Amino acid sequence: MSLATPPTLRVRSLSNHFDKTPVLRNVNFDLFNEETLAVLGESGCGKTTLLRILAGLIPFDAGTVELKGQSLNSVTPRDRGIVYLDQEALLFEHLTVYENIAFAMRMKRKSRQETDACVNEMLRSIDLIEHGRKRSWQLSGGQKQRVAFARAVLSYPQILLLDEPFCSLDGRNRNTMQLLFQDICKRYRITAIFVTHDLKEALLLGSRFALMSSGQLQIYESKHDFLSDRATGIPEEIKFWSSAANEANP
Amino acid sequence: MKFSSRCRSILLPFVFALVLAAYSYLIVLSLGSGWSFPSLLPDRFDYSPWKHFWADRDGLRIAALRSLGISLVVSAISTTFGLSAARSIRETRSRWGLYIAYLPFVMSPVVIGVCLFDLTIRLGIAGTVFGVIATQSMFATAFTTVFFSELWSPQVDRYEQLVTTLGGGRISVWCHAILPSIRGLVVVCVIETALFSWLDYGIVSIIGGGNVKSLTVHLFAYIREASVNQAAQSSLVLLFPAMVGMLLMIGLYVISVGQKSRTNSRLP
Repeated sequence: MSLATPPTLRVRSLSNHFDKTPVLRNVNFDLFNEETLAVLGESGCGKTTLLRILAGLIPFDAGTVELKGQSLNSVTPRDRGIVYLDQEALLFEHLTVYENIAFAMRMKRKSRQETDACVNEMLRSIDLIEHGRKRSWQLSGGQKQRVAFARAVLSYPQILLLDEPFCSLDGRNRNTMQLLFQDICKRYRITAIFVTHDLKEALLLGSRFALMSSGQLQIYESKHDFLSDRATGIPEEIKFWSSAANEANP
Repeated sequence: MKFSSRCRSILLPFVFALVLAAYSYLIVLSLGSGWSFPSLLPDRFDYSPWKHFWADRDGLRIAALRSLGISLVVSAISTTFGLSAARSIRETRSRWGLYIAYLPFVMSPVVIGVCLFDLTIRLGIAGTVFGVIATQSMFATAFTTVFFSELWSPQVDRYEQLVTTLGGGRISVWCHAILPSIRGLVVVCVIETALFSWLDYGIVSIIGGGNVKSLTVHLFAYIREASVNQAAQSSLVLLFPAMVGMLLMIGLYVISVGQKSRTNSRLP
């Protein structure tokens, strides 16, 4: 990404604490248009707190958050254009799959024709075209997650925040979702922050990388820096799999 | 057949028969006259109490409508305020609010009525329908606050936040996040509070001061003057919602048993 391009999201000196315990410490980063920032980190390091602050769901103590040059400090979650996708696929049980996906477009009072066209195209993209009339309880875990993701994408967010959305899926469904995420992000030109504790997922989905540890966020300038930093645990992982490969093929 | 289902198949008809026997007794009481010991049945059956009811000679029909109106208003007020109060208590994380809501349960409606009587006189609402509604609502809201206090779960919060970030306003949040999650409980709460108000005698007699003639006030007046026919008749009207509920339950039970037996007969 060219440094001359202004960032879509600019976060400066962001700090927060819960009950006197610091959760975020002086977080600084820029997020550029159509990039996916993969944030790696252990459980409880402050990843979810960061995303929820960006979505405006919880207040913060100090710092600034700017979206396209405008401060978000006093903007309500509804008007931010930032969608937060939870670990659990929160589908509306009283609505069908089609209505769930169309939800954000209906909230924004888009025309019926436009909504129909977009939702049907999305249903085809996520391979659920034949399930449009089903209710959420009739879907599998992977299908639910696809619907939640599709619903978030069709709100046409300025930024999509994904909080370990595939962590509850089995290996096969997880791979399918990762590929689907890559495809849809490219097609809908999504700018996203993807939080995960899975190294492979971070490497596969991220176009830039960051590591969160004890409330501090470290941004890596290149993939090489990310891969070679011992703090990410990747060098040990590579060493382990290399020795395993050597044992398998002596 | 499992022991529990065998028990149910014996116990349920027995319970229904007992309840139906009580209703039947009340019907006979409301119709019969000249019933003296040791006769098993009254000397004659007389439909005049029910004719009076439909002609509203004793004001019983108006009283029933008044009770219905009061119970619906009390139910609506207490459910709405209970939802908000329970949410505020949860947001402030103060247990004191909940302890205060429990207070009316420690006292009875009659004691509350006596405590609030002086206040209602000063406010000029003693002896009015408004005074009865206000006092009953106070008691019912305490119940709904406690009832809904465990309802506002993190799951409801997450749905609410989801609707907001997807661009929904307050109405959308209620329609898509809150009400679908709590629909069942709201229905139960509405029925509970409406029944409390419908069957209440303590508050309506103290605050109403004889001016608010509800169904229960009529019933107790008939009992006091030993008008057996009218007392039985007003009891039947008072128990009408419960009777409808029970008949619905029997109907649903019969349908479910019928469906089960049809399914079993289709199995190889």
